[in-house]
Amino acid sequence: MKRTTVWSRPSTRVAVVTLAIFFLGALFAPVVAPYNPTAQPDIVALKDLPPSVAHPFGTDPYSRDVLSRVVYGARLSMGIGFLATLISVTLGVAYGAMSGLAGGFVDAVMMRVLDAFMAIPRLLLLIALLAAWHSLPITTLILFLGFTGWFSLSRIVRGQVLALKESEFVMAARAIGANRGRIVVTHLLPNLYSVIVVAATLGFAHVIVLEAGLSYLGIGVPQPLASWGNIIQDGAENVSGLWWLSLFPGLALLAAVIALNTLGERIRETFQSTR
Amino acid sequence: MRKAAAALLLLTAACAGGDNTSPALGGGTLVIATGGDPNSLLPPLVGTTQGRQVTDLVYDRLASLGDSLNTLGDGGFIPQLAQSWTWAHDSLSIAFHLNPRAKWHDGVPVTSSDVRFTLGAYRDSSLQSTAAALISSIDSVSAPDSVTAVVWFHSRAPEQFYNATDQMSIIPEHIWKKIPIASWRSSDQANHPIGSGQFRFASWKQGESVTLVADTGNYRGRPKLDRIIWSIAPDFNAALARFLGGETDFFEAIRADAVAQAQSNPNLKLVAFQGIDYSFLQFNLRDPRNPAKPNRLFADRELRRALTMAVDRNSIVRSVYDSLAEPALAGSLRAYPTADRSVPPIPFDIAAAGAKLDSLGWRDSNGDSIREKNGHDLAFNILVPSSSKARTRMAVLIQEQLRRVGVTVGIEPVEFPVFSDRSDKSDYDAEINSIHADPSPSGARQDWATAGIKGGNNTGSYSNPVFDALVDSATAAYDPAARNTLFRKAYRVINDDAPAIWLAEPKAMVGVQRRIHVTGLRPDAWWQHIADWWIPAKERIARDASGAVTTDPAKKNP
Amino acid sequence: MLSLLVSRGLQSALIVALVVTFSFLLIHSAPGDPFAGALDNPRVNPAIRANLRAQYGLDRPLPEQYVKYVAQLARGNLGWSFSRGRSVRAVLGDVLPRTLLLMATALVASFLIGVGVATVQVSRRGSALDGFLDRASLFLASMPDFWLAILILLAFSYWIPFFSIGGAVDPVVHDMLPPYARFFDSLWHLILPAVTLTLLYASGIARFQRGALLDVMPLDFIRTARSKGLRERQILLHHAMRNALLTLITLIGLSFPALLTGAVFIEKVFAWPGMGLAMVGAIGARDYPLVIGCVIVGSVLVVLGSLLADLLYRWADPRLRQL
Repeated sequence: MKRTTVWSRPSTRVAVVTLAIFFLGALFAPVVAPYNPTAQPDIVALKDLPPSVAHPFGTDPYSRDVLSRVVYGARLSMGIGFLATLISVTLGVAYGAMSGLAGGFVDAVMMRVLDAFMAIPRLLLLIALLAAWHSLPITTLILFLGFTGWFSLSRIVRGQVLALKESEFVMAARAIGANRGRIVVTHLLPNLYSVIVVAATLGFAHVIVLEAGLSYLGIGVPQPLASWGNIIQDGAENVSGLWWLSLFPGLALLAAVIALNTLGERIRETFQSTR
Repeated sequence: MRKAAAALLLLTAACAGGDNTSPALGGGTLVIATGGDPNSLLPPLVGTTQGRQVTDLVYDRLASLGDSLNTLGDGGFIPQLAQSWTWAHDSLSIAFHLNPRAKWHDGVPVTSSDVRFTLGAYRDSSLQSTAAALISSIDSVSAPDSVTAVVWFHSRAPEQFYNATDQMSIIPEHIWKKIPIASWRSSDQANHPIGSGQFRFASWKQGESVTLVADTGNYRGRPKLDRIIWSIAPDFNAALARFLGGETDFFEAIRADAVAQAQSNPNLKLVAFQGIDYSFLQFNLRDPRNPAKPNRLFADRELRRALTMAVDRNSIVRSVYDSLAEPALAGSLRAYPTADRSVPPIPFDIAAAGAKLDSLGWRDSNGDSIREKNGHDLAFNILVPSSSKARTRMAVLIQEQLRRVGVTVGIEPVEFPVFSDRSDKSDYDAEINSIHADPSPSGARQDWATAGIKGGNNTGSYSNPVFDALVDSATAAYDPAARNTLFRKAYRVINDDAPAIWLAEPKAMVGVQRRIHVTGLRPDAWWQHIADWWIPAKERIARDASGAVTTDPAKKNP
Repeated sequence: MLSLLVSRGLQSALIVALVVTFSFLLIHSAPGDPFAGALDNPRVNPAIRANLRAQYGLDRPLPEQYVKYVAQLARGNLGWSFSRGRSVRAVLGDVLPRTLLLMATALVASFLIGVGVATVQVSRRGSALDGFLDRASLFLASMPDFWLAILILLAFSYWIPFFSIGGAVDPVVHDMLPPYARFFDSLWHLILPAVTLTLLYASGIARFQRGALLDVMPLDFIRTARSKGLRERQILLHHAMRNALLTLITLIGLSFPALLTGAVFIEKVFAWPGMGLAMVGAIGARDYPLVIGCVIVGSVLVVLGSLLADLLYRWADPRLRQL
């Protein structure tokens, strides 16, 4: 019953509403965005315009409407973040559960390999992977983001699995002859639910920031597509003159990340207090 | 101010032969903001402007091009290592009389044997100098005595003097003969140049700075500045902020969007001069994987013409440069006496471009807004150097304009060294290239004729025998009128063949702190007369004094 | 203690070995030619190609290349940086100290600020100040590193042009200055990047430390102390802090990845010539040996950081000291 408290906190509600707005905006981008995000209507007269009624977020050096690009950027940035998180969570749970269930030598080897991966800072690892590609397909970017995000989750999952393995109800299930896969699906996963939800929410926030950072460095989402990071990159050569190109996508990014982090923390607190 | 500069020039001329170490004149530091490290400091290997700037000041040529950029005969050339020269009656050789006072920065005298050694090095195939093709008209160098170098030519040519002098910086034999030529490129010596120029090399801190100091005992006179520092900042924002804040003195390429900021700063002045750069989207007419095969797309002249029609060059130039550039001419520059502004460019006409693509068989048959032919999309990548914002922006503008006619363009931004490397190897389908053109219109031979495919700049392998013949005849013509006519015919041919979409010919605009008195910005090399730039003693700031050169380390050598 | 040191050291060495193996595999599975096509390009002089081959053993079978690669690494040879024309070790020798300086400054500053803020928060638990600081630290912790750096650059280079931007020192006058002025020159360049990194990292420490303090507050010994009549602040400072500090030590060791990540973006925005900027430059230049060199050095830093934390933790916690 205590779980309802997560919704009773005003900060949670603000976070959820913010995220809902972003998701709806991303989903209905063609309706919400006033212009085509890649169209260059007049590359001489309409470029580099500061915010105005016609272009509330201004225009970029290619005369594209920044508001439309931020809206479509939400679609791409959050889409990439969502899919990458999905991959990370799947891999993290699978690897952690396998390692924990296997135990012994296999577990030790799997954990040492994990240590090695965790020793490489994620950004550096991503840069090393991305540097090898001349022009990067979005699917590859998503895969790389997903493949580099599961290490810490798998360690937590392993710990939980080790603990649960010794718990009475798993012992009982094993005693009545349930096979391993069945135990994982029916007993372990539901118990890992809270860990996974929290890790997914915080991981989602992290991956959005990472994608923006990589796009800012010019090795993420390529032109002419809009992501929050590469809109900022479009203005990075003249930050003071084209401040609106850094400000608005940055604010969108910040709002999404704060909302996700708040939600993650609140969910964590709630689960902790129910335990 | 102009009067002062003129007086100074007179003074320089008067002092050129004598001792010029008057403390009232010498002094001060010039800090040049630059975007990157030099690729090399060994003249035959220098490929970037940064490297050229440093080596032009550390090394000397036999003679250098005058400010008029005349390349015919020896008119206007300024003596450097050669104080005079004598033409043979048949013009098949020129004897250069070296200045007997010329010394390397380690004190060893410069001799004719260094000149002979230099030619050998530029030609050596294991060094792979890009300038090798430019000196192909030279047969050999003989050294009858230590101060006379005789350059022999295969045949007489209007620009033989230019080729023998301006294309080669003389390097010291006694230093380089100790190192096998195949390992020059990676040798430590290449990063610690010893030349004979008015500035000597002091240090190169990778990614930070290159420093030269005045060679106070130089045979051509002591420079008026004590020190030149290239302060390296790849980030344009940081570089601009430092220039506006007075931390650097000279900003080489002020961009259109920063002009207003620089103009409003009372400590700065902007100087515009005619540059000799032009940029273009170059098509590779050969298969980048296998140069023996034609390019799957761009071997087709009509396809190139259709793509050119779809690109609104005038708007692109105005969007990227405002009024600081004009649309480029086909294969030439407005500064050339041979330039022909009456050549009608291929017109911007989307409808005609679409119709032409249709007629070539490139049609959108599956409704995805991309044209196909034989099951292949009309799609290609444009290679751009990410350090050049102008070129990156032009690529994004072209990408959208070609999308409108059903062509998919991907953009591949890479750092400059990779760009020039892949460009040299023709490893691209299309690239946005920019040529720092040769002061002579004959440079077209290196840039666009068949002769320039191997070893020259014609990395797109454009080859048309008619163009080649016209350029060759024009280059061989002694009569200026005949030369103009021939070049202009050649420009029409290359314009119609569209081996490239001609983009922008920018005006050069440099920003300078007011205390620096700048003289004679030569269009192709603004740094050429840096030894004559000066800072009045009363306007000097702290960093001017900090690098004061008082003693000459080379003087201890008699 | 000694056996612990040995076993931990071995474990760290194993991790580094795995990272090296992984980076070797990365080089050889790269779809783009890590040697920029120099090897199969007919225009490149055959002598140069042969030289490259011999240097990197690229025509040998993969296991042999691997042995060669590891042997080179063991000798401290990280390869040749194509884009800079120097050995990777020489490049890193220049840039790594600057990154370490930035990281160390930020670490010390954020440690002091983070612990201070958390202590204030816990001592005024539930107050408006606590709430404000909580929200402020969440705000900063959520701030994308590069965006915060851009905002600070914007504010302090264009609107309030007070500090020096770009580079680690003024390349022109630095070498000519007297020692004290040199120090201030360095400081003037260090402040903005270091402040940015500190803001990002202090918020994390504050949040962590606040949680840790609240965790230990209900513990038995604190209850005992309280029953002895000690004042709340004394309890907080003496007992709670000591326990929370243990956790903090761990956190510092584990913070290296975050600091390194932040440093990459901050160095890029402020043109701070450290390892991050070198790495970003190397990506565009497809200078693969330099990228991999940075990855290996970064990983070694992380491993050393966690090893250090582990040892410090055991040294600081008397309960574990006998182990």
